Amino acid sequence: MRPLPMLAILLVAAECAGQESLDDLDKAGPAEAVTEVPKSPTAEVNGYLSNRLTGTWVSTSGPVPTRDVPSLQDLLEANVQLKVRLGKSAFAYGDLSLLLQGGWLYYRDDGAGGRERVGEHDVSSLHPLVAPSELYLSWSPASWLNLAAGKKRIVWGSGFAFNPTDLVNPPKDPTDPSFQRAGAFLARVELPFEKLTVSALFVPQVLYEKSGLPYAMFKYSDYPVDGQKPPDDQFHYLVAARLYALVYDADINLIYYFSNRFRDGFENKSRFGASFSRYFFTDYELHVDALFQTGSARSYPNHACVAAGQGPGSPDCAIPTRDAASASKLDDSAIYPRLLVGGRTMFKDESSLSIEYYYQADGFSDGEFEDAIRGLLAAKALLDQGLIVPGAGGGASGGAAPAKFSFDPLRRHYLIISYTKPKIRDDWAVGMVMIAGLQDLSGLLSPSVSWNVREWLTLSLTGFVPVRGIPVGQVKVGEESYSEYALLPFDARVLFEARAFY
Amino acid sequence: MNNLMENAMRRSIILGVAALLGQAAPVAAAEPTAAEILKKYDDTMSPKTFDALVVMIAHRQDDTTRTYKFRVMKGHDDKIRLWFFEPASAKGQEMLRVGENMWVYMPSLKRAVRIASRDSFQGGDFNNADALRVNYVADYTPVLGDSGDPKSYLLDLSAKSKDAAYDKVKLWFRKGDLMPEKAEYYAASGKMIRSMKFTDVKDFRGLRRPAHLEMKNELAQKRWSEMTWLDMKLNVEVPAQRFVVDDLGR
Repeated sequence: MRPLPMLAILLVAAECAGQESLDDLDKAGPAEAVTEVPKSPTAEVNGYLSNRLTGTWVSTSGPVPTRDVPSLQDLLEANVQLKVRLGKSAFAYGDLSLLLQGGWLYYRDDGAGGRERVGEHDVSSLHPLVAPSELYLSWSPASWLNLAAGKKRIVWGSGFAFNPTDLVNPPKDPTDPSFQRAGAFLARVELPFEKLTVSALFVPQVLYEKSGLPYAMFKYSDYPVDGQKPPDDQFHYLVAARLYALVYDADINLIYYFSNRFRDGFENKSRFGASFSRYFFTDYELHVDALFQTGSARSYPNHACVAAGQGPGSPDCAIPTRDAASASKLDDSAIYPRLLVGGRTMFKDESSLSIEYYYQADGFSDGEFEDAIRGLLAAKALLDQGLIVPGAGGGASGGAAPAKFSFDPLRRHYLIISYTKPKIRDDWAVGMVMIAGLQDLSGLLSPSVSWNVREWLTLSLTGFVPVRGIPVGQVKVGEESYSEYALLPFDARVLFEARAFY
Repeated sequence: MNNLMENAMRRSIILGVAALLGQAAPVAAAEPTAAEILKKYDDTMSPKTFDALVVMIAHRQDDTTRTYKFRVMKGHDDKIRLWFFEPASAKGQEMLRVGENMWVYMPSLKRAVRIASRDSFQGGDFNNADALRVNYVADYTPVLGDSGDPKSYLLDLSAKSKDAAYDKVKLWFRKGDLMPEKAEYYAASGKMIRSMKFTDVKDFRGLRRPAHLEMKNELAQKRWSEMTWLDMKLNVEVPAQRFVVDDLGR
């Protein structure tokens, strides 16, 4: 944006502050109920400046390569959230972050039970990034009709830490569900009525992007990009229809998805989602968030390629990097539901507790998980030998800010518990999040303490500790036993964040 | 003849009206019932539809404060919507109440989350129902009590259901204009958990009501919150779609 219009918007925004009457507010605030309609665009600006310093005790002995995992990392984020009202019925909204990152001190497995230092090197995930979490235009030509187009996060599921029904957005971080605000490029038509809403969504897939900004979506170009031939000539998209209804004091969503090669291998695929949320006995919220589909687009290890005694060179494993895993259940006719059931309550001391159970039918069985570990160990060996180049291929990140923790469940049963107690001393709050894989009782504990130093400044300290030592349900590969959270490439991580709002 | 008849009729009408007034006079002078006082409270504190600008200051144990500024809009059928402007960390948050249902829209979550009526309102000493659910006629059964002061009425209120903000409430009113003066809020155990003072009666475009509410947390000494109504418009017409969950965040 050129300096002059930007300055004009900021000046208007400054005028919006300090309202003392409704007439002041009518010039800038939420429209509709107010009789006076602003004649020129008005803007509201807020945002924050944040610095996240992370210290990680890297675990090099696991099956996941650690060459690109920094022991010390710093991330500086400048965020601006700008809402420009365009008359009574339209507005433009942007939620943009500029991220500067740095990583230092890298280690890897030395092959003799210890670790060795890796020299400072370029890590693509640490490059500077523009993260346009949202950037869209919303227009309500009638009170019963809303049109939106651009990049927007739309969440229909009721899950608190995780939403199985969400096929569109970058996933939440269960240790801090409010952290992920990034959406997807889409067009939406919505008809809100008093007790029900009907929505239709079209989401083209972003195929190429640079520094968080997309430059190809929906269909690959016919010519090579960055020296790579277009992988296919199909249209990559998702359409969705959703019905929301408030029935007997419950929020109910019914969703139908149809997609073609949208971030997975499914072609012309139908999926169904449903969510429910309601308070029972005054203080106890119960929610269900479920997705139903036939087959699975998940990559499963090829047993013939990774099993002991076979491997590279066997008839089913001519090229290990290609044949070690495939979406082998893509055309399976069995139904693989993903279901999250949870509850939430706030106690009299204002502490709050959320408990959620998540089941995914297409998660790895014990045998598949064992094969996956073998595959990872083989890949790690290839990486150490230089046969796989880390970061090759890349791929769209969705233009999202890096998460503190990515929840990418591999197996079938999970429990996510989150407890927060505010005001342990006025502005101090403590919290604890536990993510537990119920098949091998491994998991992650994330304690946190935060201090609202001022109305505009929050300091927080968060820990991440994998729990992987409980010898239940682990799989044995060679002499080692592995659990799901043994795959995390660190023994402990501490994150200190300072966030100043404006 | 006609004049005589007209005069006779006029006299009888005047006498009839006088007789009616004579009968009505003792009724007008009678004490208002508990139900009438409570209805007056609702009419004063939460008229049928309105649009208001409010500031809440939460005073904490360490003598520091947190200031919240928000706009609250009430539509037909007791529906309420609320927008936060300050502080910066709460800007963009919105709240909605439809019947027994309450939601808070969190800009960081990009979605609305259900909340309970007795949950704390922005961590202050008011609860969500204090801000979003002022319908005491629907929520409480009133009984006139002994105020101990000839200039005041006292209402003892018992919650009709657990959705009400408190289990029991004692409300004092000024005789004459029935302006609320103070209140005490009790848990089911009988323990007083909050107390409120209503002060600074102002005229908001035709509605006289206390502009300043001071809620003291009886469980934590030195902690209290105050809500000041800066401005208020009555009889606003808000489209029904403004009170729909999917409209939050727009």
